[in-house]
Amino acid sequence: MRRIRRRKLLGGAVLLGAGAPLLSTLAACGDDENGGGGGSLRFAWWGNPDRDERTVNAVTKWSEASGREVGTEPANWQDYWDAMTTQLAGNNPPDLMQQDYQYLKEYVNNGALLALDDYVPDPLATDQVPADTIDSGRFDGALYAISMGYNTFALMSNHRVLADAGEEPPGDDLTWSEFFELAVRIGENTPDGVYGSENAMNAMEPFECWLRQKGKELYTADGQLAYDAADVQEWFQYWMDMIEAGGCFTTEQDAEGTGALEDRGVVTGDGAFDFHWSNVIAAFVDLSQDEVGVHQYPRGDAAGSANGQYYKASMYLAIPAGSSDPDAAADLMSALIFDPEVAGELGFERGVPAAAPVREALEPTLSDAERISLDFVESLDGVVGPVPPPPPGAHAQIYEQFTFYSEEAGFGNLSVADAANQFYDEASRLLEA
Amino acid sequence: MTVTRTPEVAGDGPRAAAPAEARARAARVRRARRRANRPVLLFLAPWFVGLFGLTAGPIVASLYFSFTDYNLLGSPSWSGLDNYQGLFNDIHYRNSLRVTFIYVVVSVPLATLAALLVAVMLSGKRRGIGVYRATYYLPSLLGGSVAIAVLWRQIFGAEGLVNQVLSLTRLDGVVEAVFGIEPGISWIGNPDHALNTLIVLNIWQFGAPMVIFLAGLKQIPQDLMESAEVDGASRAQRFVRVTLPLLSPLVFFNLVLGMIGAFKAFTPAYVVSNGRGGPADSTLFYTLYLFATAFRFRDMGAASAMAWIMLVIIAIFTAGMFLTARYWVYYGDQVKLK
Repeated sequence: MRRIRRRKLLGGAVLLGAGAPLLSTLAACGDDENGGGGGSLRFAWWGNPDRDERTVNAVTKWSEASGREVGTEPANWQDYWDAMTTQLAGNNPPDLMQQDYQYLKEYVNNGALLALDDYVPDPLATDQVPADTIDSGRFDGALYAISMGYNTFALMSNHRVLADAGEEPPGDDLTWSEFFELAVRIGENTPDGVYGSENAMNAMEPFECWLRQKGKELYTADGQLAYDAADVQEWFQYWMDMIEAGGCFTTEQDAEGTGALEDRGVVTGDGAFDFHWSNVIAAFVDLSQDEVGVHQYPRGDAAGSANGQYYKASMYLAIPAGSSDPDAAADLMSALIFDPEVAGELGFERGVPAAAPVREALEPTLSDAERISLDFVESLDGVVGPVPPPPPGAHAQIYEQFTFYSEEAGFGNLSVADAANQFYDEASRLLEA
Repeated sequence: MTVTRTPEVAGDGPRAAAPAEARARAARVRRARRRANRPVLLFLAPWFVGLFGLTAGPIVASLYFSFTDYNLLGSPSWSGLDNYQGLFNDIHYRNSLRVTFIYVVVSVPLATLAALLVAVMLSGKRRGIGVYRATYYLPSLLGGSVAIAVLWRQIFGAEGLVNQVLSLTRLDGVVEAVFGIEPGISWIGNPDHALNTLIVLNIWQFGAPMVIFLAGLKQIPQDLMESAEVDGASRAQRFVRVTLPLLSPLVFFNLVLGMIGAFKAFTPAYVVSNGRGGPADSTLFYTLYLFATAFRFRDMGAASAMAWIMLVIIAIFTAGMFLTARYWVYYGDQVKLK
C-alpha cells in the first residue's frame, strides 16, 4: 500500500510539473486589472529614465487640464514589444501606445490599430506637421499613427577621452578608414580598458547607414534584402580588424554589457565614440561626466560618397483597435504632439518635435544639450537622403540573426565569410517564410 | 468504489423479472447517493473550473496552435506540420536543445548531491541549527529575482569578484596553466563559460531538496544505525549501507523534480543574458527561445510546437528515470525473496 501511494504521489507531481511548460505559452495572456471605460486611460511607451520622467510630467499636465487619470506604463525597448504582443493577444491593449516605423506596417496589416481619420482635424491638427511626415503613418490611404518627432544617426564622442589620447574631435567628413585609424590610435594612446569605439559589429543601424552610402538599403520596397552577402562580410571584417587592432571593445566585453546607456563607453569614459541616434544626445550629455560631442556617422571612402543619413520619424503614437476609450486617447495623443504646453514637457527627447508650434515654443528654453541636438539635426537639412521603405515583419528576427552571426565570427566559432553567408541565407529564408 | 457498486451490478441481471419494489429501492439508493454527492461536487467545482478553464483548455488550444501559422495579432491559419519541420531546420532551436540538455544533465545531479551533503551536515542537533538551515535555504528564494542579474555581473564579470579573488590570491596563473583560461576573462560575456555560471546558480539553490532530505534523515530508524554500529560498521559504511538506501526514494524524487524544473528553467537565463540567451546562444535555454519565438518573433504556432516537443522530451526522460528506479531505489516494504 505504501509503495503504491508513493508512486502515485510521484506520478502526480511529475504530471503537474510536465504540464506547466504548455501553460507558459498561454499563461501570459490574462492580466485584466486595468480594463474599463470611464476609469483611467492607459498609455504605454518604451524609453529610458529621462524619457519616462518627461513623459509622466507631460501626461500629468494633460490630466490636470482634462480631469482624466492616466496610468503610465513605461518599459525598455525589448520588454515593451514583448508586453504589447502579449496584451494585444489577450485583448487587453493600452489605450494609447508608442509605435515604431519598424512595426507599424505589421500592426496595421493585422488590424491591431485604429484608423485616426475620424479624429482629423479635431483633435488631431495634422496640418501643423509636414505632409510627408504625416504620410509615413498612412497605409492604404488611412492614417494610423502620427510621428512625435524625427531624428537621425548620430556618432557620439567623449571629448575628454579624445583629449587624453591627444586627438581633436573629428569633422563631419570623416571616412570609415580614417575612423578606423583614429579609433586604433585612441586605443593605443589611452590606458588599458579604454577604447576608440564601441563595437558596432552586431548593430544593424550603422550597417544600414554604411549600406546607404554604397547606394544600397536594408530592404527593397517589397520587403526583400537589398544587399549582398559580400556586404555583410565586408562589414564584419571591418570590425574584426578593428577588434584585432585594439580600436574597439572586444566581442566578449560587448556581450557582457547590458546595452543600457549608463553602461556605454562614451558615458563611462571608457570609449571615445558610440553609434546612436540624435534624440539620445541629451541623455548622453546628462549621464556623462565628460563633454559629449556629436557627429555624422563616418562615410564611404569614395569621393562624393553619400552620408547615408536620413530623417527617421522616430516615435509614433497610435491607438490600438481595442482601446477602451479612443476619444480620450485621441485627445491625449493630440496634446502630446501638438499642444506646446504638454508636448513642451517632452522637450527634444523623442527627437525634434514634428509640430512647428511646439518647436517654436521650445526654442527659447533650450538647454545646452538640446541646443546641440537641434543644431545637429537641422544642420543635416538638405543633405539627408530619402526615407527607406518600412522594414518587413521579420526584421526583428533578422536583427537577432545579425547579432548571433556577428558573435559567432567574433568568438571565432565561424570564419567571417561563413558567418556572413550563413546570416544572409538565414535572413533570406526568414523573408520567404 | 468497487464495493459500493456491487449491489447495482448484481441487480442488473434479473432486472426484467425483479419485483417492482426492488427496482424502486435501487433507484432510491441511487438518488440518495447522488444527493449525498452534491456538496462534494460543489466543493470540487472551483478546482474543476481551474482544471478545465486554466489548464486543460489552454493545453488543447496550444496543441491546435502548434499546427497553425499564428502571429498573435491576426487569427491562426492551418499550416499542418510546417512548424515542427521548421524547428528542426532552425540552428537556434538545435542550440537551445543542446544548451538545455547540458544544463539538465550537469546541474541536476550536482544540485541534488549538494543538497544531500548539506542536509547530512545540518541533520545533527546543534545549538543554532535552525539558523544554519534557514541560511542555506535562503538562496533558493532569490534565484528567480532580477537582483541575481546584477549579482551575477558583480561576481562573474570581467572585473567581478571571481577575477578579483583569483588575481589577489595569484591563482589566476594556476587557472591559466591548468584550464587555459586567461586572467581577466568575462565569465558571463564568454560563450564557453556563460552556461557554467548558470549551472553554478542552479546548484547554489539547493534549499528545497535539502529540506526534503532533512525530513528523510529524521525518519531513519536509530535502531538500524545502532545495530550497524554494534556490528562494527564505520561512519562511512553506515552512510553508504544504511542512510543512502533508506534515502534513495527521496534522492529519486529530488532528481525527477529537479530534472523537470531544470528543463523548464527560464528566469536565470532571462535575467543574466538580458533576455537574449547570448553570447552566441550559449545560454539560450529552451524556454527562453520558446518565449522569444512566441512574443518577440510573434510566431505562436512554432512556440506551441516547441512546448509540445518539450512535453514529450520531459515525458521520455521521466519514464527513463522510473525504469531505472527499480535497480537503485529501495522502498522499505520491498522484501527480497531468495
